[in-house]
Amino acid sequence: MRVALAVFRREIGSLFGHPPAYVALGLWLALLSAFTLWLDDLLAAGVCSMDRPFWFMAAGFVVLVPAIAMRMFAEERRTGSMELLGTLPARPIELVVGKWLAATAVIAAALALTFPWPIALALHGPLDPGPVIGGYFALLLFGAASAALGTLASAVADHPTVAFLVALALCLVPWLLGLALPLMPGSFAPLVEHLSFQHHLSALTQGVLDTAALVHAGATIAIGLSLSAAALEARRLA
Amino acid sequence: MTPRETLRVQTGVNAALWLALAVLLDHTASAVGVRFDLTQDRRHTLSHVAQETVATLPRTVTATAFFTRDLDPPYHTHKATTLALLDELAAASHGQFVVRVVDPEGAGADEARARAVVPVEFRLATADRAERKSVYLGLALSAGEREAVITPITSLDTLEYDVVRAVRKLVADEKDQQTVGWYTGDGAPDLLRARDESALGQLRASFASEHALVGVTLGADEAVPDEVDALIVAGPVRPLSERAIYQLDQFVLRGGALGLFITTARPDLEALAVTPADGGLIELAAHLGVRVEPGLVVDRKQRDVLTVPVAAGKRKVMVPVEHPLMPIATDLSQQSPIQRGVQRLTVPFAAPLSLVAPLPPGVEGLVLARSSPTSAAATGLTSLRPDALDKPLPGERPGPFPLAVALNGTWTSMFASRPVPGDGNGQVFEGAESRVIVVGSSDFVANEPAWVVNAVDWLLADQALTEIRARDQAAPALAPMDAPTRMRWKVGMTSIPLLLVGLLGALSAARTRRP
Repeated sequence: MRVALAVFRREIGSLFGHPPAYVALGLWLALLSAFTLWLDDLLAAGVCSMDRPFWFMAAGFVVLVPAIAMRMFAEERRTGSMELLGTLPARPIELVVGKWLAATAVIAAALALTFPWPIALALHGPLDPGPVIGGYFALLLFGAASAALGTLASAVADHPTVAFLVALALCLVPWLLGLALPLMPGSFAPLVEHLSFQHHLSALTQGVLDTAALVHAGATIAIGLSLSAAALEARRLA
Repeated sequence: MTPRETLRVQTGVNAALWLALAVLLDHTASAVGVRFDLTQDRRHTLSHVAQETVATLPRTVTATAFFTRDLDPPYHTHKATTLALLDELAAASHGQFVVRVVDPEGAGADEARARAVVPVEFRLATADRAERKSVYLGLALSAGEREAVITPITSLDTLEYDVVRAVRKLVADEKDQQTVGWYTGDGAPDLLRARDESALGQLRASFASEHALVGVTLGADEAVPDEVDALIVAGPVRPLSERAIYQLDQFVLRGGALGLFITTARPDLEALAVTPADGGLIELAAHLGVRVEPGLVVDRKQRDVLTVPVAAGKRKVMVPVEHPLMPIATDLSQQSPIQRGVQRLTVPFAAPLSLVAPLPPGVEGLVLARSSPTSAAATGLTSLRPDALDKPLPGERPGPFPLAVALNGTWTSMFASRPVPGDGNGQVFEGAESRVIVVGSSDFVANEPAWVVNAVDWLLADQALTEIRARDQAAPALAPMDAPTRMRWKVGMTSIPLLLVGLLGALSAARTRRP
């Protein structure tokens, strides 16, 4: 764990030490504001709820998370520093966990930057804190799950752009499952629904914390990280 | 096998195992998972009223669920959600609430037919086909010989309310069945003849499912029927006769609950004109404790939409416009269960009200809804054209004004010191405890039917159901903002997070440049 934390510190320094992270965060916030406040006018709608902003944030994560995660291993490989990383006395899983934690920290920072929004809503109406806490927790949870998929993409791809595209495809799958739900026959619908992000996100943004959501995100993170470690190990032996 | 091949196999097995484990865990967690309700009003938890209702059942109530197996979206969660609610009710009932699940398309087909649980049709569109499907989404509740059916269950949001209401009705004694009277004379909208799909038709369905509903005409010799517990007089446009007013007075004094929705203006949306109306209720309202002030409430900032005809070439098209005569009230008393959780009400063509000072002895009053401070009361209005109301009119009085008032207590007769019109036999001079609601708008009834149902529950002193319904309200409303204020907040909410990112980036750059 100590090694994973050391990797986390190095990675977080690297992420926040370079402009791309700020550009990605700035773009995400600008698009979020454009859609939530200007196109779909949250204040004119007159509803004192963060429900709609949460959905736009979650949709934005499909692009933001791959943008953050793409550099993790693919960039190291591209610049040749992967060999250096390989000389560290660290198991692949420790490298993976450290980098994934760093990506999750960036996601948490992105979410923290939107805190002025619920504060502004609370100043104009009786905002129920339960669904707001649930919504932020859900976004962090599913952001972390998406980051695990992004880590996997970065572990298997040679180039950051390829990693970005693979991560984008992987992050889209749980959303597409949710979108395809109306087309599913009744016997498959419950299973497909529980595999989709929308179902769990919707419950949490309404203020219902369900253990099924924790298990779903936890399982996605576990799969993503274990396969990333296996991919790194396979490359090391190659 | 080379180490690489071994690892490849291991990775494949690992991935398959993780995936299988994840799906299994996911499915198990969804079936037996624990849920925590984070909301302030515990809206996702069984309400106290529902728990109390089933915990005090005088006899066994059996709930039989009739659902098609493997329902397609959007109804795929209806069965699970309904059964989860029924199980919670059963757990709270000490064995008096029993749940059965019947397959309506198999062995239970005859039972479904016998209990009038009929399939509903819905349109199913998949990737390659569109078809109509017939599905069962029904619940039958029985207690002894009595039966209630809820079908189709289309809204899960009101399911708890619907089930608890049905259970309370099932176990109530016949004599407990309360009757709502609806005044149908003098040009008042006739609830009993309203089309099913209209707002009044839906209001009638809400009343009829819970109470007995009868039409009431007044003015002749007959008084308000004895079985009527609450009487609604909504928007008569011709003055009620003195005799009818006397009958209303006596009804309240005998303990009957009265809802007055008073209109002082008749809008003509085709001609965009408004003419005065007098239902003859103003004197009675003043005697009860509410004065109907002259004029109509106009609000040029906090207002709702009205669809009005606008000339488009030679034709007229109906266009929704924000209209000053559609004031939105957000100053709503949260003391009253009628509107607990409600954040805004639209009160169309509202007459300003005020509480009589002092109120009659033994009477308590509560202003339920007040117009905004930006409202005013304008008299002598003849035009409904929005542009004619854009600027303050001569003689306008600044708001806010009470728009809805609740009163309870005991009254003396309005006819104590004046001649009784017609037969005065059995006249009551001092009354039993009663409740009265006065609203300065009759169009409000069709505009805010949920509020009216709650008001009737309050008039009938059945606040329990009102409290469940209050939890089902949608997300609360933001305080209305004018356009410049909204723009300032939007700019602030957009720029503050971006400035924070910029600040963090600048700090990071400064740290990197430091030698």
